Amino acid sequence: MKKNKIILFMICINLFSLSGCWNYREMNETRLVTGLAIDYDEKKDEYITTIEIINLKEGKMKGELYESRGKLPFDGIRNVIMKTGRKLYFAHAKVIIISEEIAKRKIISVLDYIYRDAEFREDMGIVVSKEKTAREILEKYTAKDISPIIGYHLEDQIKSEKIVAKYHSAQIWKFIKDLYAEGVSPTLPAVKNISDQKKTYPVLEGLAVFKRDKLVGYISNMESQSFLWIIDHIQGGLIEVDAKISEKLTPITLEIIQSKTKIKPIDNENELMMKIDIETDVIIGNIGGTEDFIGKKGRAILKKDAEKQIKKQVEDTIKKVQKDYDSDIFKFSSSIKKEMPDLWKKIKPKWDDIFKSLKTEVNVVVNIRGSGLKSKPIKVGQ
Amino acid sequence: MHKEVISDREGICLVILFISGSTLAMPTGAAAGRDLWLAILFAIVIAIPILLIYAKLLSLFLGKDLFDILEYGFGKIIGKGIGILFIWFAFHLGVLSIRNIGEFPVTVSLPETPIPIFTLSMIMLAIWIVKEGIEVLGRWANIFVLFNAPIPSMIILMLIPIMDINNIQPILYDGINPLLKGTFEAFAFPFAETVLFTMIVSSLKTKKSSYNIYIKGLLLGGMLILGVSLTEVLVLGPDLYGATFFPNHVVARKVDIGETLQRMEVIVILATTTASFLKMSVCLLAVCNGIAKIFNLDDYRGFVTPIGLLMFNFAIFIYKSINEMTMWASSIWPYYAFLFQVILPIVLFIVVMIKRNSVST
Amino acid sequence: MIVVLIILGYIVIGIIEIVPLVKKNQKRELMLYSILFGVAFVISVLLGLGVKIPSPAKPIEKVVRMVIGK
Repeated sequence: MKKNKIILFMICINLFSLSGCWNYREMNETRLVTGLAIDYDEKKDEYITTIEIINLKEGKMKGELYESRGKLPFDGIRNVIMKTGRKLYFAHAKVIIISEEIAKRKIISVLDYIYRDAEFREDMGIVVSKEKTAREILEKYTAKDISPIIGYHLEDQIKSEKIVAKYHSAQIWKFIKDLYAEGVSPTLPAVKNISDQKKTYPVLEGLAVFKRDKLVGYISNMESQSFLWIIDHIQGGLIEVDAKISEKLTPITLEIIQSKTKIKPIDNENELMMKIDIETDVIIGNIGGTEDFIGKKGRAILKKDAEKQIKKQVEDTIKKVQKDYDSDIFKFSSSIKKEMPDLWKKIKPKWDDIFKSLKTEVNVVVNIRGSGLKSKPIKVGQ
Repeated sequence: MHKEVISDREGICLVILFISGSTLAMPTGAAAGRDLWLAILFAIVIAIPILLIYAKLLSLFLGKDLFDILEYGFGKIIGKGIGILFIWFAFHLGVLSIRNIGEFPVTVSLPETPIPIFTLSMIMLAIWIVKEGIEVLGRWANIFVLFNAPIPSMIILMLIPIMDINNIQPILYDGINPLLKGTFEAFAFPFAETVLFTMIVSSLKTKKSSYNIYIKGLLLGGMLILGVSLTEVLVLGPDLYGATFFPNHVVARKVDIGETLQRMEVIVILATTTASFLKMSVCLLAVCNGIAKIFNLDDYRGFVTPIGLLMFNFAIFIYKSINEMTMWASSIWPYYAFLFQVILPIVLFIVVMIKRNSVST
Repeated sequence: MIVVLIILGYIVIGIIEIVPLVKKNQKRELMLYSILFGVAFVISVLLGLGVKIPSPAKPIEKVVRMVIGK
């Protein structure tokens, strides 16, 4: 008798609790979002959201675009449902493209939505569109054979940072974390459309430089490489060097295999200086001539020339950012705060001015670790 | 009825899971910012003498629990009065952990599901396990500690690549005050909450057991909390840590090893839910045990269900939103709990010691 | 609708739990049980009807703020 009651009780409970999830969703009732583009319409003070959705019909992956408007991004995105008719699923969204206008003035509202909403993954990528609108990046895409979905295409590019080392990917949460940090300004990769062989597709190019939460300008691919060097984030990539043994310059490509950067603030006689020590291991990847840069003597020359050029490249980048943007993207303030907390407390209010005229000392050490498969340059027989 | 006895090992597991219960989900000591790990370390150190007092009380009166000791110390009426206060404290803590475990899945992954659905299923299980008694609870803890302790540790290891040491440097940048505040928070939630064990653990084997359980449980559970919190700050940074409701879940989302090992948050939800389940069961048991003692009943099992249902009801209306809940947990709870965690036990301890000495001389 | 469910739930629990208590003739326990059960039932029904019940957290908060002087 008692057993029967218990069983009855269990059945009742299980009827209620095991009959399915509350937030139950069928695959065919949702739409997977892979990418978003957000623009800002100044006249109406509205956000224009363009969403790329995977359409799985006909057994082939195909991207579809939908656009809608709203007072804030969340509102705008909800309004898309009026067009798709189906609820959207954002956990697989790979990338969010924001327009220049948003980056200059309204980025916080976009970040807040992405970061607050439970469905987005905050490790998705965020890029700034160099085109007039962010929508163009999604709209003009025609290279369906590279990848049918633009979101995936951009994500692949972002992930290739390691080997290309000419832009610095930003996951949303890291960007927000940098915004929180005192003195530091964040960066985002910039994206623009290029056309070749009658195809148009987006490529990442350089970095968008922010000052606090406002976009102030861009730096080029080369400068982005120097930026990666300074923030000790370079894991690969190539260096183009012109070296000279006799009279004429020989272009040489070096491949970075490993790199380590140490930043140390030095405070001597009320003059703050950042000491940047870069140590890079490279292998010779390509020699544009017949001269011997692999032998002992040649290597020493190459090493010197490479060091000189990297030093100049890095110094130029720092100067440009100091002069043009006055925005501490190199996180110098973090290292000052870490090494000299007391000094940082004093200079914090005037940090912008200090950064502008901050002295830097760049020391580069290049170690040539090898020369690929061959030990000699190609010799042309007389 | 036979006497229930739990082994030392089971007791330690109970304390570990109890400490890690809600703390695995919610941040503690966020006021300390980048010095959070120091705050938690200090909190553990400060908690040791307090827990030693609890242990001493339990070992002086082997086989008795807090309510018996209160009656011995303060006499029947005052003892019972303070006992009722303690029952309310346990009840409140239970309500908090139920609410917590309800908010957690709703906030992080199932926003359309009403909170009572989760809490009701949890409280049903809690009622069941409490009816089975502390022995079953101990054995349950013994098994689940093998599930709950390794998972956070695994996730810590997997997060090492994205940790940033700059997040905790420089030490003591903002001075000592935030650190003290954080220490206080972490001490009250979760370490000194173990005062609840004095209300349920009347069934220890030897006089040394209580020390063993309290200190080993505190150290092991504290290490777990320390590791998890330190990881959260190292990954998120102190500002985001403080701004996130459930930082553990957020960092677990970031695990990504070779694109195969990722989205670990589901396991974290499981670990958190099981640990919180134990916490609320302990609270429920403490309340029932206390009421049985106050009314001089032999057995608490008769009225576990209505008390569980009451807790469930309170959990619905005690806070209006998750924002109110976290505000309460960080700025009111430590002071409120201080009375039950420190003041009353110390007073009781002093009274008991004086009484015993006067009896023996 | 939800109130009906709540009442049904309480009736089921009541039958399962109270009948053995009555059979065993434990008066004190039965009384305690009924009081607690009644309170829980009333609160549940009120919540089901959407009545706003004042939270006990508020007065505690006030007292604590008074004591610590903030």
